Amino acid sequence: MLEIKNLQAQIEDKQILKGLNLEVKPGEVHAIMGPNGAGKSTLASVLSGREGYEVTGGSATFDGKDLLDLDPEERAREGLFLAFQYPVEIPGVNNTTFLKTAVNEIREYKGLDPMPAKDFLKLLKEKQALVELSSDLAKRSVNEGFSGGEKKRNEIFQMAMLEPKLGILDETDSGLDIDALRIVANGVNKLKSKDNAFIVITHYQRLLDYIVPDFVHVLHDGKIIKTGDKNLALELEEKGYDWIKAEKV
Amino acid sequence: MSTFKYIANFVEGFKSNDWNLKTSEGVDFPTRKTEYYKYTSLKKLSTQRFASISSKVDARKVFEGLDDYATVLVFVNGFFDASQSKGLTDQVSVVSKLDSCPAFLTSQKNVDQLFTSMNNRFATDGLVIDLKGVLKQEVLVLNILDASGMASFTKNSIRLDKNAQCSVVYKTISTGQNLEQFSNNYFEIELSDNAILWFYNLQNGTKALNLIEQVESHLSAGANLHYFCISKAGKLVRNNINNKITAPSAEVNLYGIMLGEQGSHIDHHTLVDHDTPHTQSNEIYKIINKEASTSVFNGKVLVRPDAQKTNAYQSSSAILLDDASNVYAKPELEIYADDVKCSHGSTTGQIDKEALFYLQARGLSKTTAKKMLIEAFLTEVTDLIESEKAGVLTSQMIQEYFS
Ligand SMILES: Nc1ncnc2c1ncn2[C@@H]1O[C@H](COP(=O)(O)OP(=O)(O)OP(=O)(O)O)[C@@H](O)[C@H]1O
Ligand SMILES: [Mg+2]
Repeated sequence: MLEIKNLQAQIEDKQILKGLNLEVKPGEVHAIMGPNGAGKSTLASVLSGREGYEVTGGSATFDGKDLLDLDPEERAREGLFLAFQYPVEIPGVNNTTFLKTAVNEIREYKGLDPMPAKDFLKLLKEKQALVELSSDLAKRSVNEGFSGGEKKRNEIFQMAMLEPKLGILDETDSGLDIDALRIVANGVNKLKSKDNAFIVITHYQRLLDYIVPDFVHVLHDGKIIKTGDKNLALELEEKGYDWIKAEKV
Repeated sequence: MSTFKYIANFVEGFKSNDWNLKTSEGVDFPTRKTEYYKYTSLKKLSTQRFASISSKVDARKVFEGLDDYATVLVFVNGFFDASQSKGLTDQVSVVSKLDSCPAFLTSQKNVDQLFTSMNNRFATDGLVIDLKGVLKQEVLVLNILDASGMASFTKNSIRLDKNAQCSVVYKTISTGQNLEQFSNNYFEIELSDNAILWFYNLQNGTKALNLIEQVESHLSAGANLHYFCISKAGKLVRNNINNKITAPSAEVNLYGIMLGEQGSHIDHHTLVDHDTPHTQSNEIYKIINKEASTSVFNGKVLVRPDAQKTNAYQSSSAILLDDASNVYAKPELEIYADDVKCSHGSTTGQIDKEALFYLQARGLSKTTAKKMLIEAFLTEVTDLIESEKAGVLTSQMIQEYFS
């Protein structure tokens, strides 16, 4: 589904990604862990098409298409979804209106008619219930005045609405209380199928108790330096990153 | 009545004193050195030949939903068209300069003498509202400008008696495309004690439109003016919105949207003159510019020495969609009383890139995302529109701006 080969990217002449390899197949969950500043969010940004990053080498294909050649909206319409580490507040843009537009622009891209209003409302209610987002929040301006945890929950709500092929969750767990963490993780688990996949970026093994990963990668200094199964996360929780860094040299 | 004569251009017509303004009324032609016209050059007007031209236009063809209004007044090129108008009463009617004119307010020192004097001389017909009581439905006034090279002048008066209330939707529709048009409209607004007026001024321009309007309002105790004006396109659009509050508890609310495109020049000049204690004014202006257009907001607030406890708020914010566009925002506060609350702020910026990316990352095209963010930017003003009909007409203009 996603194939990243030797990806190198820089921002303002600073090399951040230094030859990153990753392959994600349908039905898989990949966790990416790693110290602050390692390049995890940069990877998410480059994959989703944020401005300001220059890809200096390597490739990323998504279902065979050259991902790096697509506009951000085309990537989204192809089925890529990024749950932001820091979701922006957009005053005056209504959450529901915005989602309706998103759903329909994606449908149009796929050659489908707009979703009938009734079906949309039904879907909205269903997904709201899934992540236990209050309908009050769903009706407000996008993220405006939301608490940190509410913003994260709104990200997962949007992901549930758009049903992407690949969901990238950038530290969706930070800022969530214990109940919210469980709710969000449950949401992800319910969305999981043999046809879609998730990349979960996190600092805490706790999330991985709920969303059980098939692979755990350690990203350090712009590269994936170790890959293991879910037990690697436990080991990292216990020992930190130094031993891997040491192993590397 | 003297109709506007065909002249070579504005400066020439003025210099030759064809209009008889220079000598009889001591008027000067404003130049860029005139402070009041610092950001708006009338040179843009000066090359054009204009004349008063009468014309026939099917109002239904240029304005959808005419039948939704009980009271409709249609003016074409400044001339009242009775056959397409309806619902006139002794309180909502029309004045022609040929009839005896109601005495227009002369007490106010006019800051824009040239156009006021021209209007005095050349105005053909105009709307007259002289209202007691409450008018529930909006009065629709269409200012249709047809034919190229046309100049029109209307003089309008709205007087609300004590406790009277009404809502006016005034829409300028320009059909000109090639040669330019010139439209000048003067509005006198007099609000007696506790009267409330909503005035929705919808200026839908074309590249060919030159539009110069002047509002002179006067508020008595407890009166409320809600003046909303949206200007879209136009070659040269200038609004002078002058308000005088002379009794306590009165409130002036001015809301504006400027949508600049295709090299247009749009200028809103406001003045609120607080001349008595315990009064309030609110001004909110939202400006969007694209395609090498220019917008000007000049907001003057005058708080006279006696006007203690004045509350004056003013804000203007602009988004420039390209580098070739410009905005000039100038607040002018003249405050001579000490116990007052006055605030003003103005911002100019671009579309929020982070927000734009966020929306795109959810599948919205850049165009849709931009449009959504701009509509959001405008809601601070559009949310204040109380008339549903005016709200629909406003959002239509905003949609057109993107198409
Ligand atoms: N706009 C920028 N200009 C310069 N450097 C930047 C910019 N954005 C990110 N960086 C740098 O890139 C490096 C990687 O940042 P990134 O956000 O990808 O780290 P991360 O792995 O997500 O860290 P965290 O765990 O703290 O979220 C950091 O050193 C950061 O300072
Ligand atoms: Mg990060």
